Amino acid sequence: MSMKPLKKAQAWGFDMMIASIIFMSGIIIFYIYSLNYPKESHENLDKLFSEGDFLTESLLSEGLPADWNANNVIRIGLITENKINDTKLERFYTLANSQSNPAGYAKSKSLLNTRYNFFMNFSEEIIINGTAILEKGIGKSPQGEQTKNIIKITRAAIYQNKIVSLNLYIWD
Amino acid sequence: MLKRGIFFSIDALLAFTIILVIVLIAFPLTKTNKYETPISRDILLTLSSIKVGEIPDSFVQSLVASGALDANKTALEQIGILSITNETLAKSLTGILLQSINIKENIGIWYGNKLIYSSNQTAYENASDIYTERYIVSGFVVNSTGAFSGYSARGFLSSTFRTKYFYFGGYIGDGNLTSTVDYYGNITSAELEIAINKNFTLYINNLSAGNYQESQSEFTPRKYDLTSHLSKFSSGSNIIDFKGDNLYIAGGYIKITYDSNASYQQTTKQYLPGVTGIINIYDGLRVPSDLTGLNITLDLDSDYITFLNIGNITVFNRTTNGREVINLNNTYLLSKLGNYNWLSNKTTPIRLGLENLSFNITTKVDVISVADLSGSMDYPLDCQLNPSTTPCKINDAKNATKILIDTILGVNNSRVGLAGFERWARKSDSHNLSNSSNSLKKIVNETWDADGMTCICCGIIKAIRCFDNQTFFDNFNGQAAGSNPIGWVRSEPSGSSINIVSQSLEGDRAVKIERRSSNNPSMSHAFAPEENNISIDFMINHSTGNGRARIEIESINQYGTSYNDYIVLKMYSGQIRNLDTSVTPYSLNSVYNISVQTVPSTARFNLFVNGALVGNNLLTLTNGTNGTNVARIRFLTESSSINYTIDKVNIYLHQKLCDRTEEPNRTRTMIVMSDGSANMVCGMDPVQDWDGDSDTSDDPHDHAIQAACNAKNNYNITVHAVGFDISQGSIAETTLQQIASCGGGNYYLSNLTQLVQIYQEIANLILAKYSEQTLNSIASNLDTKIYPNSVIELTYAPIQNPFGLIISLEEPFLNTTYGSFQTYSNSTILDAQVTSYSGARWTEKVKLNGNNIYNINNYGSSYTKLGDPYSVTLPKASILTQNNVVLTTGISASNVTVGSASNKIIYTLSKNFSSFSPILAVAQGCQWNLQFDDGSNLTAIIPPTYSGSSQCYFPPNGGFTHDPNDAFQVAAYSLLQQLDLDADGKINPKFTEQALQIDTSQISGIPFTWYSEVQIRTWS
Repeated sequence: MSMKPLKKAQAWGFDMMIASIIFMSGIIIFYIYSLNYPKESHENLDKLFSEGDFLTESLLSEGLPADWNANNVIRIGLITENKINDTKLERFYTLANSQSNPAGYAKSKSLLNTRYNFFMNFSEEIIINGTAILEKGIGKSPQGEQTKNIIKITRAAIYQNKIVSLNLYIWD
Repeated sequence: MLKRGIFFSIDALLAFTIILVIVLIAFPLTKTNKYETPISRDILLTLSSIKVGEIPDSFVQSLVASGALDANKTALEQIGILSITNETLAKSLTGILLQSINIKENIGIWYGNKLIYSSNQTAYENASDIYTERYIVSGFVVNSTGAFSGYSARGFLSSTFRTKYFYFGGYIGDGNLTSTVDYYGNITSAELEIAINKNFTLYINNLSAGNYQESQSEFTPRKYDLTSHLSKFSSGSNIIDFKGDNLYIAGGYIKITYDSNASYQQTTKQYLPGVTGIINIYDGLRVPSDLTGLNITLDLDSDYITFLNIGNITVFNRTTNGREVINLNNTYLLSKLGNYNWLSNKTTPIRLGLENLSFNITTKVDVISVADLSGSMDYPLDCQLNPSTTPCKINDAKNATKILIDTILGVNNSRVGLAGFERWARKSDSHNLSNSSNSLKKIVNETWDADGMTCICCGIIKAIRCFDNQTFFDNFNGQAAGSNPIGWVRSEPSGSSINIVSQSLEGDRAVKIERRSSNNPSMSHAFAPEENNISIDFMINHSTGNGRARIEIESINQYGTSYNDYIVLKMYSGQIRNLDTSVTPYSLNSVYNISVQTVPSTARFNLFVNGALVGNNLLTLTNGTNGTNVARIRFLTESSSINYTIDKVNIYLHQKLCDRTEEPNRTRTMIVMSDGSANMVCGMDPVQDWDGDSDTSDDPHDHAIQAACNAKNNYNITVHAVGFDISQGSIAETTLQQIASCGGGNYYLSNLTQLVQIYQEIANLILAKYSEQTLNSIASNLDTKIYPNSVIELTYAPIQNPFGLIISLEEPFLNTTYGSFQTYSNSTILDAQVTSYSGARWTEKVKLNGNNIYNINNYGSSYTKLGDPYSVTLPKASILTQNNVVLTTGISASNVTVGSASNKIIYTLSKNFSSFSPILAVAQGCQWNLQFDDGSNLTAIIPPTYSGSSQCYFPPNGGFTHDPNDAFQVAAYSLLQQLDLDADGKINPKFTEQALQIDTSQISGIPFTWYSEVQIRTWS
């Protein structure tokens, strides 16, 4: 009997250990990455879509009270008799225009019961007091903002007797 | 040691890398999610919320102003109405409404099955996920004045549409024939279906209406479309003449359709056909009800005693003095017939003919079944292991042959022979012509099996051997001196030659075989292998040389692939030898007639030289498979130079296999059946290149066809051919067609299940050609006439004119014996007939639902005095909802067989076919695509004024039939459903476009509803 077989066995075992550590590291990373990260991402998107659905449903309702104004509004809604009500739209614009009224925008988020930023527009121009608004929408435009997750929800509504798209952007 | 460790680390790193790649690939995939959009619900809501009057579009408002659109309707309702009344406008309006919407989803709006709007990136057909919002819209429609308006339509088949049949008798002959066709109205179609013996020229009211071919057989009629000759018909009585060479019609009818305002009436006149030649009419008297009066008018010109039998009672029997119109009135007929009860509600045979003429009643028929027993007949594979399996080609071939045996041997003095073939026509698979059914069937049952190749020429030649024992003969006479002998396979290596020479041993030519150096020449001729007692004769003259003349009589091996020596004779050193054993002396330059007589497989032969037996029971070469047959003769040399001459090679069986004594009046027929292409030859070269493939050397197809030609031309054997489960147009089929053509017979194509029926049909045809209804040649020069205004007039209580449409239906028989038909709800049977293509046989019995409704034996056992109806009335009282009919034919009570597969049941019924639509929004119409039960199609524009492009379908096309909101379409569809009597999705009664009439009326002041399901679909 010689020592050669013993040495070979030791070296073999050492290398096996290194290999096992590398392999196990890979498995652990795989589980952390593939299970945790997407789950987190999904949760964020799900929350945004859920929030978006809630917000569009709210906006495409009459609101509360049905003839709400800035003083008595409990929940914002733009619809009267299944159509966008110009008066409610103007009040919403006045309240939620983030550039001219940052506090109002924050209040509108509160009234809409959301912590996310939002921006709403139509496929047609929004007319307030006979003039198309410059902001092209109501809320806080995501343009130029640092957004982490952003979604767009499109609904259809009757605005000025036309069937238009209502687009709502939500981001965090 | 270190290197091995590194390998492990590399493995681990690779695994790590793979995991990372999976993570990177998997992550983006898991991130993708689909969220259902409520956009379709929104559009539905918006369309149902906006009113037409509110739409800010000038085009829409102009339509509102014009009254085309209702300002108070919601967009959803208005589009719904327009989808019915004006689909184009519906689409425009929807487009205007949705032009401002900007969505990325694929979206489509359907009203019912109409796509009104779509905006999509992906085709709907390629959608993987579809979300649908449904909504039922309905309502009343008012016109621009505010009044309700709607449409209702009524559909019906034209009550003036008529189909009428004019039946011939079971046999109408012989000579030029005439039929009468009467109708009152405008003829729209005419068709002739008859079994006629020869080509004929047709005249309609003395105007030529074309030349036509004879029918395929007396049992298989041919149809002739006379539509292009409708202008030659006229309302009233029409004379149809059939002119040709001694014609007879063995059943059939003229069928016409016409428009007539006259109400339906059952016929009370039955015209007798006109005959110029020999009056020879077998027909039936069809009485549909209780007969109360009968009158017969005969317009005759006959120097011979002419008789008219009703049933078995003769009511007329005399000659005429030139042309005479003879009236047999009711009083006279009643006195002859006793009463009319036995004629009522049935068909009775009537016979009009000439006394004292003889008929071909002494039939002598010889039929040989030449059947393919090759390996491919064991299909499906190994089915022959169970003899009861069917379909199974070999089993069905056996069954068909046994039917043939039974049918042919059913006639006195007839015989059947067998010649099964595979690699060759084995003796064990053959049977001499015989009237022993048991002996024949024993071969079929116990010996026939499927194995080997397909030597069709072998089978035909085996059948020929029944009548001729000559197998092969060549005396070389007439061939060019110095040339090669025709038809022989030669080998002429260097220093040798085989040539025709004029130094004949008999006649004017012989063959000289010469070996001049070290190579042996040879010449051989093959023939269909023979296993019977056979003689091989030839003349030989060994003129010079010390070499050896060698004569080989060879057999072919069991695979048909190589020849082996069976008997070898040699001539050398002054001896004629069995191989090398001396048998008898010979001298150079002397002519010897040598004859070898042997029965293959006995391993013995006798050798005759110049007529003297010189070798008795000599041993053959019996090694391996040698000697089961004799299939080739071969002349060659061996050992050294030699020069010898051969002449008058004659190979023949010791006796004919069948007809050892000639019987001149026998007819000879063979039925050649094969399921594949011929692939074995019979040494028949040179033969014509029949199949035109430029192969003139040992071409199996050419040999098969040539054998059939020889059978017909040299032995007067009619050769019928049957292709069994072969492809139409294949070389196998064209070969069989040429076999039938050159053999003077018919070709039949059988699928896997039809063989028995086809053999039955051929057997009937063979017998009928020589059976009783055809007059023999002795009578063929007679000149008698019956004119077509001869008529039988019936008096009976008329059937009340039924309410409803009169339609005629045809139900073909399911086989040669059996047919079925059904009646339908709310219908009344007016007339029902079963037709019988009995050839020259008699329709013997007809059973309806198990009850005898016709039995010729009730009128006597000698059929030649009895009539033979082509159409037999089915009594209305015996007709049930489901009915079956069984029909048999015969030439005597003891000789009964099946009928024709071309028989059918023709019945006329009345049924109320009309329909109404409910009050609907529109009445526009459609172009209907219709399919009838017989597979034919009709495109009908209903109503005829419709000019749109809407397509409607019956049966449905992709599930679509018609628009349920169109009154015309609804009425038409409802009517078509009624016309589909058997609910198979196809229309039963055939009609023309003009016959299908739909009318409409606008209903004012009656509100009507419309409804539609709106579907708004989004998809991805």
